[in-house]
Amino acid sequence: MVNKLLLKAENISKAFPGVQALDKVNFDLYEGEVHVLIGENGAGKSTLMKIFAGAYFPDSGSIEISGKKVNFRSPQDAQEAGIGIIYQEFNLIPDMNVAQNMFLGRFPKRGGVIIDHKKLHAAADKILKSLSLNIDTRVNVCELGTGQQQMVEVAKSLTMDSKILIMDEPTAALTEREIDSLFAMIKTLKKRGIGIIYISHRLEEVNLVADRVTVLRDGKYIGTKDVDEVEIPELVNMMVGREIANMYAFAKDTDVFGEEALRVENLKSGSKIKGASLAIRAGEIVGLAGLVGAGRTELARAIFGADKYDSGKVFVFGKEVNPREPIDMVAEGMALIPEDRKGQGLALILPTSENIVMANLKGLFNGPFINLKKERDVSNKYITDLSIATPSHTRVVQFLSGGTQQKVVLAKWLCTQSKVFIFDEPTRGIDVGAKAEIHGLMRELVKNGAAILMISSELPEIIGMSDRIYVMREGDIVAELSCNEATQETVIAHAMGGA
Amino acid sequence: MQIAKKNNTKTTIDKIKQFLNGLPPLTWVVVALFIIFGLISPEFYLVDNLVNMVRRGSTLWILATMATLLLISGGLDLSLGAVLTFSGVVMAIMLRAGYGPLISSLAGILSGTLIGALNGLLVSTLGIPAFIVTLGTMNVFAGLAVAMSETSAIFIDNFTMKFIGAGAIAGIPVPVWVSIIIFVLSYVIFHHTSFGRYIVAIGENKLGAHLSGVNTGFYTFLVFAYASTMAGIAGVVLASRIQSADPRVGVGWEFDAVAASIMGGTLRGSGKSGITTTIVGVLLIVILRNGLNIIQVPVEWRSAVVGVFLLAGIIIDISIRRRES
Repeated sequence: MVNKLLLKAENISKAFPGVQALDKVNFDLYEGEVHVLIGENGAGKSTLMKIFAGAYFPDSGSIEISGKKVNFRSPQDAQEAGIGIIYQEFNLIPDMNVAQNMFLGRFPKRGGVIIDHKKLHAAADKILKSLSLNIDTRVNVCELGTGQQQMVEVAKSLTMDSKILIMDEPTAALTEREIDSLFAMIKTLKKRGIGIIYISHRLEEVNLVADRVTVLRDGKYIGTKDVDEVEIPELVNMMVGREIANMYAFAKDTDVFGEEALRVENLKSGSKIKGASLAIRAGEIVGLAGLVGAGRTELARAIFGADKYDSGKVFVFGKEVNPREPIDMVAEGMALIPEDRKGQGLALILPTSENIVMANLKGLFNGPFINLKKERDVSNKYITDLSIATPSHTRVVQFLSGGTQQKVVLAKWLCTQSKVFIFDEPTRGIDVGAKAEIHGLMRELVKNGAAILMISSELPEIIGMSDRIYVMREGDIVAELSCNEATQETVIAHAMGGA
Repeated sequence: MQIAKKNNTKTTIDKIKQFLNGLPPLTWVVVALFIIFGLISPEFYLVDNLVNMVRRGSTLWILATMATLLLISGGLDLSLGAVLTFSGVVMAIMLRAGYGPLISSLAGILSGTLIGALNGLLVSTLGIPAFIVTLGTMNVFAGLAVAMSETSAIFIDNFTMKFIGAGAIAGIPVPVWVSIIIFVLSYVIFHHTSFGRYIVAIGENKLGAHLSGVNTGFYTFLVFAYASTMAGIAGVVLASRIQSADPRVGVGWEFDAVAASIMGGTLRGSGKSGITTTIVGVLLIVILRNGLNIIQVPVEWRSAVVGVFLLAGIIIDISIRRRES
């Protein structure tokens, strides 16, 4: 029995400013199969799915649905072609009931105007029953558990007669039991001939639910395998197998570490951080690896006092501190270079010089007055030292390039004479040249006795720069790797749970 | 030699051009109105009338400058008008009770500070939006002013206060001096102190400022306390000027203050335009209200006209901002 080909995508390419998200990617999907898509952060999985769902337009390539060429101009086009997508964050309206959510925008109406509630609930009940789901359609969605909300999302796509269902990390927020229910429902859908595209970061699930698996890396199509014919290590290799370019030709001096600069003991915060402990010494660059959503940024913000946490201890150079506000931690000599440099690291409408001195006005100037001449001299010093590409210290930072902006953020913290730096994705979205410069600056910092905790999702960066690497997964620090043990495969394996 | 001379004249003209370009677009409307009102009714140009506008403008200028500072910091204060009234009433009551002018004035000003501190505390610690907090305090203190004065104006009969209200130093009315001093103080604070820096940073990117170790809670509080203190001073001067503390005066000033601030171009560039251009908005409102009165436009229509100008001003401002970006 040959199954029908539901979707065939060839040579899909998509570029965003500064990055080639997808580069000639192929993908196909048959009736009744579950085709899993895996890859690192930034591999292009979400972009590809959004193209199938009509949310993005490909720059080139072709898509055929059931043999017919299609050109989606909006998510509605994709819906009408029979493609349903369930996003990780769910698209449900909490204060409306299950039936209303399922038929949102397509309510059965009497005379085309008044909503027919009886018909609505009857139709909703019918679909839920067919999926063996025991959910009351009159209940508001906000009262349902996450697992049940997931089910409602799936049911919603059935109201649209979807032949293709795209699921983005469906099990990320589910308990074991809910995952079992979900898999059971997927089996039911398969029997009906529905094709499912399933994005996942959990390698252990691939065996349980998939028929085939496709790997993307850096926007490129690496390969497709039948699940019976491949083992996890091979998949991991396909996901990361790249040369670590000689970008990181720094000699790692393993002996020159000083005293302990930062220690965190069993920090817990809600469900995001489940008990993290780590330590960094002066002179070290310690990497913090993990997938998006593992809790790394949350941990950094908690240590820095930007977010409250439930329990745990933080020590800076041996002294126990109480991170309640960033201003406290800045006083202890800590600095945070945030992930979102524009939204959290800079005052965009202010000039370079004002941004550079912003964190240390008290230290630089006596009393409340700002000495404009001193401000100019200090900022020019950093502009020279860090090679900040700005025509003048008065240039508003909004107009600087990404790499230059990041240097301004770094200059701001150098100005505070900080000793412990937390970098969150320091070179994201920055070109190769500026990247190298920033890495050089980081190396200089630790040579002069500072300690760095670096969060990064780029494996070559974190392996090339770190003296040690902690790997975080779903709120726990699951591994600590020395620079010898750390290979791309081991890091990814720990991050995804396949180790 | 000749070439050098040519370069010099070019730069002076360029500098003048730069200055004219930097003026808020409504400056020309102000000039136009000044001319038009005078053409319709020459009484507009009578010295008495002009002096009257200047005195009125001086009070509004203080409030509008404060409104500008607040807007730049990302906040808003609807209680400024109530502070104006309340501080005047406090001073008048103290005077009537026999206290000296200095103590009475300080009491009035201090009452402004306390109201501002209350606003600042509620906004920064409890995180309640400024709009709601100041709406509340506005009603509380406007009401208290009426209650404490037993709904009628309290006559002020004190030599010192009379001088402050009606006197002049070096030909310039005292109220205008007060406004100038407050403006200069605010200018220095805004452009030359860390407080001023933080105001802009908090208004532009509160999250970023917080993450940079700026004590955003404290400085948010301070802006409100400062603004209401200055409004308290304005209230004391106003009461001296009309020689009475009238609990009905002050209502609506906070709206004129914000309108003047916005028409002066505060939203454009949010922060970098500084507090200097606010005076253009003040002139616009004062000339508008006074002119409408002189040419005898019926009272009922005046607010509508001011409203039209405010909307037009915002639309022009935004269009220019969009074209610039």
